[in-house]
Amino acid sequence: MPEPLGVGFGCHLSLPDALYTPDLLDFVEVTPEVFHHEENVQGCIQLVPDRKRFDVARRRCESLPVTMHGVSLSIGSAHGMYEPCLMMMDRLQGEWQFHWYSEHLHFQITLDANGAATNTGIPFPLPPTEEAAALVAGRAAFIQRRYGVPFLLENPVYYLPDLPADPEIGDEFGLMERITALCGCGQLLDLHNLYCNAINFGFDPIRALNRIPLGRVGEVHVAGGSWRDGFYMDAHDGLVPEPVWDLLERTLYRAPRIPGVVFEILDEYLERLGPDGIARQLERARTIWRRYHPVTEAAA
Amino acid sequence: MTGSLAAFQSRLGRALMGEDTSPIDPRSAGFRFTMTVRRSWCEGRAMMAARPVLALMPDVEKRRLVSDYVDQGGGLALFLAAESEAFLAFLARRLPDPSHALTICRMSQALARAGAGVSMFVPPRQPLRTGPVGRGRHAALVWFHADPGAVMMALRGGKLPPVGPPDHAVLFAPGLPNLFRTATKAEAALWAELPAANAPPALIARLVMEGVLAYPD
Repeated sequence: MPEPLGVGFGCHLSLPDALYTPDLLDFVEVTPEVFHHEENVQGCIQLVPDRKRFDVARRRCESLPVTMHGVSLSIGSAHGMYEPCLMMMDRLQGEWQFHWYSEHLHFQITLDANGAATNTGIPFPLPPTEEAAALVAGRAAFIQRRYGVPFLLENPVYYLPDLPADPEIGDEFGLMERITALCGCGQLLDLHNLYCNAINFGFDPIRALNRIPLGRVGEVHVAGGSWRDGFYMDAHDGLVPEPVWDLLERTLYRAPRIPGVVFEILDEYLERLGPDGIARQLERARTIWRRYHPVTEAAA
Repeated sequence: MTGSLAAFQSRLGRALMGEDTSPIDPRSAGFRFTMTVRRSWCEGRAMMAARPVLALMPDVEKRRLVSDYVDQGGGLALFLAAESEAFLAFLARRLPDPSHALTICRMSQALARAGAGVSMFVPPRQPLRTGPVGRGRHAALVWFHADPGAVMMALRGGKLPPVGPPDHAVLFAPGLPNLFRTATKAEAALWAELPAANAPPALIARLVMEGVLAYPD
């Protein structure tokens, strides 16, 4: 795992520059797709930078380390990954140095009845099977070699019950453990996703956390959510709930070498918290972080 | 697990399109909620993809159009530009003509097309050539049915002006500053006649340099 960076936040262009200083943040987590669009270039779909916004994002992040958190790879699609995403990362690798690259352990592209790739409209979890583990592990190893930085897979939130499972894998935690063991990639431990799944499927999040090999965790996400139709949703729409802060405490207590913690919120909810509210969430994450990183604190 | 990962994903994907193939019990609360979330994501993508157009429409009408679009398989694009292109094309077929909403829809399409042409457009060294000149590949002319400034103010919460005759033409092209400008009467008349060879050379030269007009390759 890389050296610990600290507390990070997404690159939101609508927020003031003042938020993106080392006083408040240790790194920026960039979702590169936000600054790209699909373009048909000589018959081949490519992700092309929205140059103006891309350049603004680069300037926004220039005083801080950067990590990449992709959303379009669809690493679990049986027919293949979304190649334009890899081509985008190839280009970014030479253009914008990043400490690690993370993606989601899910699929969002399938083949329709005619064999054409089609978007599912929402990410879906992979069934916890040996086949899924082997498929993703092979691809994750390939990506890690390709970019020469740690590659992390994020545990998903989902609402589908009764996914078909192989008994030796069991559940989502077994699947992630098998993948990381097979290929040596890391996990992006999204504590809010874990918390959502625990509520919706009725398991104990602390016991689940205790099952996770934290030595393989390269980053932690915290976020807020909300209730709808009797389900607790990973909405990224506000304050981090207290039980998730508690999970973060427990995680860092057990694994202080985890390289980073990121607070996530969607663009459309930024106004709800405002820059001051966001700063308070980041300060709280940093307070917890520093409890387990006295060396970093002394160095500062 | 019974069946392969590919089969699982294919069956789930087809179930999303309405086929009776779901590998997960479609009557389960989790499956139904997943469909609710999916629908909400699709509608949210559509809303973002045509925000200015929808801003001019009553809520009921807005929801109906978004819902119809999603019913027809819209709202699935991974990237906003692709979603915008598809939804604006859908709206252009459905909005009343004339209406300010349709004008803004066409304007949004024209802006996207002009923007897409910026990286490819290079003003030619010789703007005048022999033969008929045509419309630039990434250019458009949009007629407004009221003062364009007043229509744009309505997007920011101002009152919409009445829909009048199409008296205000705006050009969109990759070589224009900010991608657009008001068209003169002569330019609008020329645009309507294209492809044309008998316009004042100075006018053609200027429009070619802006990417509004182009000679065939």
